Amino acid sequence: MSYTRNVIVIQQSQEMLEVLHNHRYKVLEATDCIDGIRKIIRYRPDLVVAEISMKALNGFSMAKILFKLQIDIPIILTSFIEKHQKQAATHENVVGFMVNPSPQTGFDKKAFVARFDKIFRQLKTRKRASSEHAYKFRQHEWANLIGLSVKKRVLLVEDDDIFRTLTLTKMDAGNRYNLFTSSDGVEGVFKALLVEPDLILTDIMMPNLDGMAMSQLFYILNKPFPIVFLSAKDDEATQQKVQKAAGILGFMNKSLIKDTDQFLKQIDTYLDQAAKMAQARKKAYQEATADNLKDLEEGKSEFL
Amino acid sequence: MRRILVIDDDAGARELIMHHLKPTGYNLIEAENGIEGIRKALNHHPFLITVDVMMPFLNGLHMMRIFDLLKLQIPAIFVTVKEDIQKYEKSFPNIKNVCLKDNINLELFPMVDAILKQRRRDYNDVEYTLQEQEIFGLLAKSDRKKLLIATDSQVKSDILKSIKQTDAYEIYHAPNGQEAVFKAVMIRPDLIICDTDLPEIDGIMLARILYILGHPFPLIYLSDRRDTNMIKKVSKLEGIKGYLLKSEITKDLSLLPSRIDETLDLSEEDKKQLQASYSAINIEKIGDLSEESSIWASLSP
Repeated sequence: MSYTRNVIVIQQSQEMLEVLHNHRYKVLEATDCIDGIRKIIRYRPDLVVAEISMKALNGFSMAKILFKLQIDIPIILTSFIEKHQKQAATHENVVGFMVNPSPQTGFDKKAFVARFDKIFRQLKTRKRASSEHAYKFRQHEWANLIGLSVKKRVLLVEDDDIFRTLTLTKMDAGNRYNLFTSSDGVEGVFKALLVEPDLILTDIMMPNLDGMAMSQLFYILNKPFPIVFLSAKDDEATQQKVQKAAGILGFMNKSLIKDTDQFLKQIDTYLDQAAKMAQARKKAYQEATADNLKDLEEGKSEFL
Repeated sequence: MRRILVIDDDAGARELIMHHLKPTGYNLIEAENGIEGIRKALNHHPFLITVDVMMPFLNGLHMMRIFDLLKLQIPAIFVTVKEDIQKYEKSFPNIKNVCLKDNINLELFPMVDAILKQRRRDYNDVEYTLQEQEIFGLLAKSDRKKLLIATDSQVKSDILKSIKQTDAYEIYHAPNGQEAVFKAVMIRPDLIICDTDLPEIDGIMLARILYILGHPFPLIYLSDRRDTNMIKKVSKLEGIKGYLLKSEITKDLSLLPSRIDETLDLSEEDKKQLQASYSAINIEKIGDLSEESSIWASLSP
């Protein structure tokens, strides 16, 4: 049989693989959500079939991540739990829901195939989201990008306009860094991908995509950007959770900014540290495991 | 620290201009040719630049055109010996005023002061558009080499066909020269395959601009005809790795991929050398822009 489409499957039953095969899908398997997202990005399949109940990062979270990354690949979610269907329907990029064949309840092959056929028919008429996305750069950022500079690139992600401007002004004082800013987590992610910063300073609490979720996303995507969290809260529990994750260098209290010299010194220290640990970070991200995400999930990130 | 960049090929003139700008209290930076001027403007974000109009190879108007193409807003004061100065003022939005060389000691400081006093300038954000496949490219941590294909022609599909067979590369496409510059800088391709006939910024100018900005990407030209004269103009730029005829690559689909592999096979030593040659500024290498038969030639004082 010749294949006409590609599909990436994550933790699927033999029955599902067979149905896909009959629909002339070439199947590529992924072991978990991290592997899945990485393979989706690398191979750009026509369809993704993923299990909802996975450890650390479930199928819903994966759909949400792909949506935020503006990757419009249709997803079919599967689960043993029928009532997941309702939640699956709330995701724009989830095109269908299938109940896994279970030995306890018996397997109705005919119904299973019919259900997939129905989703498959709907898939054919599905409209894709716009495939162009515009990003804005400020003049100085633009100049930094197209010029060749030896200065280190620092990306500041902060939703509060006043604090962002203040921080930027302080950091610009010594003309030591190439500075980039974002007022939103998702925009920050894309800016980071474009400018490949030597350090990211990010607020933790942000709407849309918070700092914790951002760091997880970079971990999943295998982008080992060093991250330092800025926060107004001096909460020890948060600090401890932050320290656990790879790629996260530390935690800076926002009040530190009052002392410009001290603040810049701290940034320089982090930059040194980030450069020294680059290899180790790269390796840790390469071998990413879902267990490391779990630590972050306990941090009650808005995102997951 | 606020900065003013003074660009003039004559050291005496630079000294004179800087002498008159000292009272502003701004940090003064100097550049002795157009390339150095553009690179320093990008690295130092000056508040204002003064530009000599008449400079060899890359004159003041060429510089303004390049800033325009790169969507860079940098207020400039033109310094010139010519009397017919009015024509410059309207030609580019970045030009805020024009000062005669003879009147530097009287006019320059008040002109600069007036611009500095405005303090706040309204900058336009630069909008950059990513295609879906480019988002994938950015997200993917792939070990594949990145190719940038700059062409507006039919050949594109042929190229893509012959390259896609291998699936060994991450492919980006730019329909015109300006996009090609932006994408090159953003994506940092391992190789650029570039049509010589692109609108506005043609393939030859593209190679020059990448040299001016200091980005050493290997480049292979595609051309309709055996026009070696055109390519000779930029033959001093080490990044250029030859050219192919479009008719040849459509006839033999294996030609381009084999040529690409050959070019990508640069040793670390070669790469370093390429980097070094682009870092060092040698203005003669870009050839004289005034000799161009295109829109660039009309920009001569």
